[in-house]
Amino acid sequence: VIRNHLRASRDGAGLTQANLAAALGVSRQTVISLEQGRYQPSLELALRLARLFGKPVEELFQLLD
Amino acid sequence: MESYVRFQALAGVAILAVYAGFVVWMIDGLALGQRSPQALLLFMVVAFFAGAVLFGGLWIAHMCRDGDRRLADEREAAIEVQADRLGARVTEAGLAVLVLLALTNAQWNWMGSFALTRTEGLIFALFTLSALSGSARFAAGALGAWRS
Repeated sequence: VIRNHLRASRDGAGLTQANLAAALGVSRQTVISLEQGRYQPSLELALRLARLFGKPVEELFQLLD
Repeated sequence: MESYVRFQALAGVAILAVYAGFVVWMIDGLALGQRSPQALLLFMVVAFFAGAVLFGGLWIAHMCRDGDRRLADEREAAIEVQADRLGARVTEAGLAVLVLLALTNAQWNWMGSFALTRTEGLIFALFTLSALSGSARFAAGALGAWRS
């Protein structure tokens, strides 16, 4: 199971879901699904998120045992 | 409702609507009526162009809702792959059923006007299979998008 901290990171960056979706080039629904953990991003999208928030991927996504 | 879910669901409903029209047009009572090859061909052409226009319109409407996107995003692409896979499985299973129907009908001649050896019977069976796999594919797409 993978847990993520996208919602907190997005709030911290002062971005709306629509802003983040536009910055990533995905739909707002994809951002919603990502934040709710219902969709796991590709490696590319995870790296783009990490770059956008200026955090390592491991800080945004954590693999739970 | 998410525009992608709506797009998938409407595409599935459109396929079923075309199929329903085809069934009504083809069936007389409980038997398949006789239709000329030209009439069947005309129906296919009309259905194809109507489908292409409708599908294209729905797709453009979906893409325009989300700003300037012109390509499916990766979540939608992942859903499409799963839905395409299901559609392919339905097609494979349907072809196996058609083979079985053809073999049993050759032995016992039980299909009457629906026999696959008749042009109308063969076209009806293939159109049914196409509608089934298409609607299953879009239903899977809508369900996958709704759940994720």
